[in-house]
Amino acid sequence: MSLRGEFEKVLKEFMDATVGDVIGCAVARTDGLMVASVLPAGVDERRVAALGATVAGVAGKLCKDLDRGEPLRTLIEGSKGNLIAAPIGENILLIALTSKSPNLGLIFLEMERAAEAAKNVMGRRKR
Amino acid sequence: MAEALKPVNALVYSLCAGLWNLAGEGSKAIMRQIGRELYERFIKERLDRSSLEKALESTCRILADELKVCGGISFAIRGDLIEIKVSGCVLAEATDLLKEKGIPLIFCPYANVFVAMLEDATGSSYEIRSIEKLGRETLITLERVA
Repeated sequence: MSLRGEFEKVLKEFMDATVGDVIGCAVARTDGLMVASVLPAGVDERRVAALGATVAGVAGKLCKDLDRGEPLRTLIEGSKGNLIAAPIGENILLIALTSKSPNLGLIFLEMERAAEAAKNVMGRRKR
Repeated sequence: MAEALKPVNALVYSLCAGLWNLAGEGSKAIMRQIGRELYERFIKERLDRSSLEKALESTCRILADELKVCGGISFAIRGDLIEIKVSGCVLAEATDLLKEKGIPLIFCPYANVFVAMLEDATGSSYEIRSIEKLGRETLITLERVA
């Protein structure tokens, strides 16, 4: 299976585990390069990667400049749903688009599981 | 030194330093988008898509001969790596000042324009592997990502 295919499998499992609360997700690099995505029709994956990476970069800068440690995740609440971006490894982000009133606790938990699964994919590729 | 900068270099330096100071690593994604905007506005329509070499040649020609943003550009293809050598860059002063301030050379517009062009022309993803200043020349190395 290709690297993209392996990441897509991780993303699909993440979406299934959140029982409809995550409506789209992606793995992207911090330079805005898309790695893999499972997104609703009509959503431009390059825009998701670029904007997610920008938001995560600003969050990292904020945490650093205000001495808040490493950013664990960035959550933007919108009137129609949320955007969550979380670093899951060196220069890699997991980005999730959620429904309007999601179970955020479950999503954060499943994001951590997805991050571990994504790290395993990267680890196997490095070996 | 700042007083001696050409206006375009002063503007580019200020924009890049401000962006880096606010967005940090997020600037890389912004620069990727800026490269895409430059490519789509000035190069895409006139790109020779008959081969990778022709696409690179036409991009070099448009940047150096038509837009006159540098004295010359040459390239070499080494497997998945594309090396681009830029000489006589009009933004050399801004680049030197950014480097002097410890700001990484992620703001190189040529590197980001070539990434956008390669992604459009080949359908593959490319990343900036390195940007090195070699005296008056800049060596940009791009790599195709699996």
